[in-house]
Amino acid sequence: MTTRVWVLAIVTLFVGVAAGLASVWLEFAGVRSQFEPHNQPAGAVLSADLQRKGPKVFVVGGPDFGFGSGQRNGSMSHTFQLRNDGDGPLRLEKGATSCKCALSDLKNSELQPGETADVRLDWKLVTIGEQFRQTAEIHTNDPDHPTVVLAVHGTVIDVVRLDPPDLTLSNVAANEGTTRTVGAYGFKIEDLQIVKTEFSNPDTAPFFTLTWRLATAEELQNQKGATCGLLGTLTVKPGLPLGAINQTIQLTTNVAEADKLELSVSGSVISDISIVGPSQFSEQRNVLAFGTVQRDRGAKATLRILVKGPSRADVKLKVRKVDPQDVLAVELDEPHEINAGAVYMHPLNIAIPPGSRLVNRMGTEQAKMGRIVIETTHPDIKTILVYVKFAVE
Amino acid sequence: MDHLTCLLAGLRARRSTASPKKRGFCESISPWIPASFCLYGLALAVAAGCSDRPSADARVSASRPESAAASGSSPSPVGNPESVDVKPSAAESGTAGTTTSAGGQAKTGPASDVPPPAPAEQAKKIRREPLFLGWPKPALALYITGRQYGYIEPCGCSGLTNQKGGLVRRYGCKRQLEQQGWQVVALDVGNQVRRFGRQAEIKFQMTAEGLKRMNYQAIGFGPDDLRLSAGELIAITADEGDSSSAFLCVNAAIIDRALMPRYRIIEAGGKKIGVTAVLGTEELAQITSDEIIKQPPEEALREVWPELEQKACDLYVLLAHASIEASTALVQKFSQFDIVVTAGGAGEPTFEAERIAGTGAVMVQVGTKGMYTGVIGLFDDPAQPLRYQRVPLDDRFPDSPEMLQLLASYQDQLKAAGLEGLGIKPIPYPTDRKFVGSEACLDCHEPEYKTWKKTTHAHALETLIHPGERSEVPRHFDPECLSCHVIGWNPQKYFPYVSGYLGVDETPLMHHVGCENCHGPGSAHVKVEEDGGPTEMLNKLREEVTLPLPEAEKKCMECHDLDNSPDFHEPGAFDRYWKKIEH
Repeated sequence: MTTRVWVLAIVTLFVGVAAGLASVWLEFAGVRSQFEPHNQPAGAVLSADLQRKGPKVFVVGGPDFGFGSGQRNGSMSHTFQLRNDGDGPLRLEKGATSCKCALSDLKNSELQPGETADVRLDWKLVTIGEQFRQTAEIHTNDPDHPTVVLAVHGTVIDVVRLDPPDLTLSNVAANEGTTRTVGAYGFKIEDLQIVKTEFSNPDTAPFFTLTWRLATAEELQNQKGATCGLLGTLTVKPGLPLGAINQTIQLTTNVAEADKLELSVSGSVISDISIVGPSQFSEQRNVLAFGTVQRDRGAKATLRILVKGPSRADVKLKVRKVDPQDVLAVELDEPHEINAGAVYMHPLNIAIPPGSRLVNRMGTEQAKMGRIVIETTHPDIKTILVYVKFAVE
Repeated sequence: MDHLTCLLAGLRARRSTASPKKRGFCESISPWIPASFCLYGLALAVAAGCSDRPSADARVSASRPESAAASGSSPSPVGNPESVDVKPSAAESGTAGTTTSAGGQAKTGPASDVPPPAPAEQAKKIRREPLFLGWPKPALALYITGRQYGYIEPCGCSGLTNQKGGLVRRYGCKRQLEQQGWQVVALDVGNQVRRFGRQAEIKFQMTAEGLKRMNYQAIGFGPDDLRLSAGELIAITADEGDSSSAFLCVNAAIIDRALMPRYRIIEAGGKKIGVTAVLGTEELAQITSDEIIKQPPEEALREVWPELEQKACDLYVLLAHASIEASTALVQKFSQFDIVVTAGGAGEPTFEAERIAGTGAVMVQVGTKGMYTGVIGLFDDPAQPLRYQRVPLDDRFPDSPEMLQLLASYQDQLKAAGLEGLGIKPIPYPTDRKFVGSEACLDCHEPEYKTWKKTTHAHALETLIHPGERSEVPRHFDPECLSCHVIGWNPQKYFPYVSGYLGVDETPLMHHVGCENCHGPGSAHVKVEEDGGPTEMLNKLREEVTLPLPEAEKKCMECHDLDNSPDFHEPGAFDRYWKKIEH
């Protein structure tokens, strides 16, 4: 009896496991193994194991195609040829492509030994910058090369191009203005001229002037492939209103096949004196929010007062008033020059020393907050107010 | 069959055949022991056999058939590498929904008039490359990203299944690695944004917050990052008190050198890693802000190297925001670096890490638009101390609810700022004409209007208010989305023209992609048709708003660009798309 039970149990176990395995196999027989060798060089390299039987994929001419150069936004294509150098059927399946590529359908998805299949890759030359590289995958049943990566690469050129294509005027002092340079380059043409200049924003157009001169041979050499060029100077006059700069300058050239060039000019115009600080500081409201400060720990922060404009080197700052004077310790450090005097930075150290008395200046309105008044010798800006929102407990 | 069923079946069988005469317990059940035991055992055995089935999560896998390199250890594939069907969108879990803008109520007509958002493409099998084949668990994994260029979500809106990238998946992928017990150190080579202005600042701030939540340990700068205003950069990137920022740069600083760490030492997985970030010479030249203090890259590296060397790290990593050639040259001069992450290269990063000639260093690329992450595994194996895997951030990776919430918060900030707060002001259309809305065309062009009304163009704004995917994040306050979903905006520069859309309530006639998106502003044409005028003027204005079919494709591509509509760029696509709106 006992023996019979054990025999029965073992047979049951065997039958059960076999049934389970069979059900799994039936369900996944059509699914390729996930664990094929990957990340191996493929294509032109023959299978390492020359003795191995079965299919072997070979890319005639190599899997990497350099197209040299092509016109931006243009379309190109190349046909790769895959060959079965093995002695068993080679199955091919389209895989993923990068977004600028389209892979043609495989007319022949199973190659007998010696047979070839053509695969066309189409792509559009759209990219940031000049270098272009995109890929497409073909999956095979070659165990040494389960994924063949076809790649195309080259340089994107324009008939005419601006460099840089956009100009940023970060934090331009309202009273100072600024200049920037931009190049317009022609490729495969001999003569480039700007025949018309239009400004998208007529309100601020009077503040911009753009003048051009011929690029020297040395300047042309800096633009790989350029055959002619112009160097432009964009001058921004003082007096732009405070706030964002948003201007697009459309340039019509003498090159018939080229679209209009668009030079985007963005940036901001700020006052000659501005303050920057850590994340607790609101630049828009000039409020330094310490929040609740533990009496025995205190708090401190450094704001940086930036002075620009024609009188920046001569501007002096002085702390005239602090409220509450017995709680806030305020000190102006000596100014530093930034970038050879393009900007002067005056560090303003603000501290609530440990042991300060209890005080609450957490109001939502600036009138209820702590206040620091700074006097300046700037011709237009005589006073700077900094608010400090805090409570000592 | 489950275990309980087996037992119950045995018991019912016993009950039905049991003699009414009472027996001892053992005598009663003994005839049935073999049968119930067999059934029970059979169920267990079947369960054991079925456990060989690959799980949907693919957390643990079977060993690779030939695994000489792997030394018999199990690989740890991430995500589901199987072919995947396009899934219908479903609201994701997480708290993102709680931050959905309350302003999401559309006033574009009764709900019954609005067709559902464009359905996802018909299910198509997309075979994904398996990842981390043959990898044992690394001592440490470096998780490398960069050049996001403002693409906090996959570029465009042609279906998440078709696209890669985004912070949401980036965190989903990283978390999956960590959940497998990997020690992951995240590094970024910089260029979080590409544009300038208030929206770019908000996006940079939001990205920085996202990188912080993902626990990035070192983040470099790109030239586009350093175009933003100094105040914003300082507030976001400077070290503050006890908390240190992950941002660093050896040769550029904002306003004050003291605010920018030049390197960082990271200890993880039993290893000590020295990391520094550098901007190449060409990239430095792109920075024209007076508030950025710059230094030539080689000079800066020469200055900082003695300090780094004193730290006696196991590994030195250089985040080089420079071209491939410049990055190579830097590492050849400073061959102490073991790994260089370059912002150079085009399009996709290469499949493999590249050995730098004359050095022991390897170089990896990050690609563009944050579509990929690169994972460098560090192993205590002298034969193969380092492995590299390029990881496309495709839809095999789950959405991170935390990042979704951040995306929603970003959209809320755009809403709170409004167009004016973002520094966006309408400018006159080049021809000085004004937009009138598609309803104005109905009087004379009724068949065309009715055709248009049935197309998805006529509901374009609705897809921003109630997106088909990640629907908890409405986007109708985002200028980068609005520009191609409403009337009267420049599609590539993200600003409105005078008389164009300003808001759902403010400009009710400017909703969706209307007639004037393609035919141009119609004010002059409508006026002369209504009020009359000389025939010559009538004809001239009619011609002005006519768009010949050969020119139409170019106009379409102002919005159906490669980012937003890759299918539109396949051969023959325009003809197929035209048939959907033909009029």
